Amino acid sequence: MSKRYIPISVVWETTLNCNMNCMHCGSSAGAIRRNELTTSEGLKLCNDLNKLGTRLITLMGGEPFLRKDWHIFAHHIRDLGINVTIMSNGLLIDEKIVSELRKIDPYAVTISIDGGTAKTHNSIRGVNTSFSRCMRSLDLLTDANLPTSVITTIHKENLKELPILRDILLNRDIAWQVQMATPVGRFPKSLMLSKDEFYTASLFIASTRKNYSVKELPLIGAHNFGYHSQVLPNIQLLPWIGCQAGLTAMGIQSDGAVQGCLSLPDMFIEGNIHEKSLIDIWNDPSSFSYNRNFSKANLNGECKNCKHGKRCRGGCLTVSTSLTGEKHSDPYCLRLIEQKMISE
Amino acid sequence: MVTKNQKINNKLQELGKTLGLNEVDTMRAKRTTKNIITMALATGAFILLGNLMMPGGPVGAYYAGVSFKDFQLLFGWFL
Repeated sequence: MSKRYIPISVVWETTLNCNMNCMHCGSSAGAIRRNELTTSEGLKLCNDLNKLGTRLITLMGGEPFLRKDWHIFAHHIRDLGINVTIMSNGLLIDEKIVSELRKIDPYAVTISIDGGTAKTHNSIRGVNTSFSRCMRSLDLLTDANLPTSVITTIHKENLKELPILRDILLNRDIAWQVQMATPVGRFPKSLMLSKDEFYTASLFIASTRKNYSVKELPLIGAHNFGYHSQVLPNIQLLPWIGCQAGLTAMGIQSDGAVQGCLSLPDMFIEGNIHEKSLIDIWNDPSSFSYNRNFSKANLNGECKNCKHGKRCRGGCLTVSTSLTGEKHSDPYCLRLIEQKMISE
Repeated sequence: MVTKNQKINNKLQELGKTLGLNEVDTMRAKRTTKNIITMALATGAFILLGNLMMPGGPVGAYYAGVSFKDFQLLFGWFL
């Protein structure tokens, strides 16, 4: 009998339509995709996820608040007893949206802030007034006691502003997630952090977590900040247990394409719910084979000889494939970088 | 003769300076036995409480955007 997988955490790109033009956008958002799911198709998607046992659905975009039916989805998800998180660029959040969010009782509302100064944030996100508008959105959300998070995607253009951003977010009951930009979508490889810069960001996260309590600043490094360091403590929320794409995580594109994780390139699409039911795609024994049928023999590059390889699965699949062209071989690994530091 | 530990410490201090970390901050950021034990206990608590509050397992919950509620599950007694 084959193992039963549950997509506990699902990220749904409700639309690719976006009112920003971020330089690091992994999905090159802007215009609407052809054949985006209708309201009734979206509601059916939520029902199918409920049948599969999903516990958290994250509505993202593009910009999810550009869809006029976003609240219909969010209320439906809550009525099914599933948690809902909304990931926004923060530009459209106003009193009316906040009032609706309070009725929904979301698991989190996250806003992307990519600089400690208006100049940097606005330049990265391509909208001149976005920093001040995002700051106002943060005030509106926290004043309404909504669980608010900030996600910062770092690269060469904003790494040095992490300390400024930390000071802005301190003591505001805002959770902060720092993630590394990877060369997918429209993000140019030339702006990606070097390994030294990546390690510096990790050190900053570890130091901030040491110097400030969780109450002052709940901070984590995202899934691409790992793995098995011998020098730094774990800076993710939980210890790394390998990429969860297709195991406990799933991503749905706005046109119904199904992936293990939305940051993966289109070659990882397993099917489309316009052609086959989501439940059949998820339960197909041949789906998500890169993780479901993973064995140590699938490791590549320097991960092949790592004693943590079997559990780690070679780090983040997106970083691995976008940089090396191979799966299970993420070169942005703290442990690997430390080994090089010692051997130099 | 420079030991492995010295090499690492020197490199960490060099890297930390670029984001304004002084020597003390950098050394304090390093892993300790206490870190490892705390993380193991916190993970246990997260899985236990997470399973109660999010049946089916909380493991996938941190895969998208982190929530203040995740920290409440993990470190609730500090908040």
